Amino acid sequence: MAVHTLMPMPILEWCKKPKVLAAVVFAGFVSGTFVPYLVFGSGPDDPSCGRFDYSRRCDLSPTLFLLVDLVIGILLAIFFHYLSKRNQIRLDQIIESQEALRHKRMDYAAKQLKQLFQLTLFTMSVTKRSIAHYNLTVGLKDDEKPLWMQSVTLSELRRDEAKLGRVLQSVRSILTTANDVLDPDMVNRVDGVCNYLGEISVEQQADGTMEFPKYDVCRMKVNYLIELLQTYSRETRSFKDIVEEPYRTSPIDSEPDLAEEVKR
Amino acid sequence: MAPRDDNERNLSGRDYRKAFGQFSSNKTQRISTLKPVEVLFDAQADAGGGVHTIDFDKGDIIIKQSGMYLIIAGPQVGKVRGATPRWIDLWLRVNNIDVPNSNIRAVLIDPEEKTVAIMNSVLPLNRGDTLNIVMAAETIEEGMGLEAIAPDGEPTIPSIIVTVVQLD
Repeated sequence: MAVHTLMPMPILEWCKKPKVLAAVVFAGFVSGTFVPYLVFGSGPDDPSCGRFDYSRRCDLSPTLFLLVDLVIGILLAIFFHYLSKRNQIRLDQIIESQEALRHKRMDYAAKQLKQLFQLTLFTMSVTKRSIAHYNLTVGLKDDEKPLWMQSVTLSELRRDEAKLGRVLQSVRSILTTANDVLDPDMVNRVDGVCNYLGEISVEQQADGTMEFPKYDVCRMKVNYLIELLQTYSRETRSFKDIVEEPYRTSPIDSEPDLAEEVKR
Repeated sequence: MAPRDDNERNLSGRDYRKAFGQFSSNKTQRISTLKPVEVLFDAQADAGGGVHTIDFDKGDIIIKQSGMYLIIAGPQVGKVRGATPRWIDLWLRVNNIDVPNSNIRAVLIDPEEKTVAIMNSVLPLNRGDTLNIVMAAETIEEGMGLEAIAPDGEPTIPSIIVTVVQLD
């Protein structure tokens, strides 16, 4: 059976309690206000002096002392209340302005991310088109100036790739500056897409043609993110995750000729 | 609306609240470079008439529903020649970033030796995340890799089977 023992609470622990501290201060104030007058007597020194007289002959009576102290106390209370209220108003103003700034940053981040990912999508499409242009030049005859055409389309391709890199860099910059206002889940998702796209680069195949690897997956990932960014609400300052899915079969089905490659 | 049970079915087919998917490859995939190689898939288990809650494109398993996922992969590893013990490593990659503590290693000595090296992991994944199984081998000279086997009178043994299940 457990034995419960009552341990005395140390005085220091008691003193740390705000209620105990307030009670001690209040008791000190009350005793400091009333006790001296009770000790020194309640009547005036000169019998001719009235209770509220104050002159050369008459000292302040304890009653008047008490009243003056009360008035001073009330005035101090009003003054402190005024100071406290003024500070509270200022604090509220600071909090409101910070909150407004935070909302502005979040609105800006959501809008900018959406625009940048739309730009990413566009740049990917342009890069894909440049790849198609480049691939058209592969296999051309010498009299059709294939090298010149290849050099032109290749420079376009590199320009588009560099643009995509700059856009991703901008996205990362926004993530860095707005990571304190954006939901960590959102930051992770955007970061994941950036990581994925950052590792993708146009590759040259053995036959000399160029290829944008995993283009469809990249598009799909960016589209998912744009869908999510479009759900941003300025009222709730949040994103609404989309779960509805249209039925779609996998793009790759079982290939019949694979059976030949199966080891027996 | 009444809360749905996980196994609840509607008239048009099965309606799943949690995402899942099983992917496999009926193709033998041998490593021909010393760089890490992504494992490719060519088949996905049917969802019983329901919606595929996880998709795939070649080697990319595409998550369509955010959540915590359990990933179990069983690659059938083997090699063609050589009697020297050689290692083959397999690990997970999410959004082209290697996942820490997901790497496993199998050591193959005999070409007749066929081993299934099990790898598993629990990961938080978001909608649009891509998951890859990546492999690398000690050498490219001995035809190491994942082997699909077609025994007589039995179903084909895929070179890899990956099961992905949403937990939450």
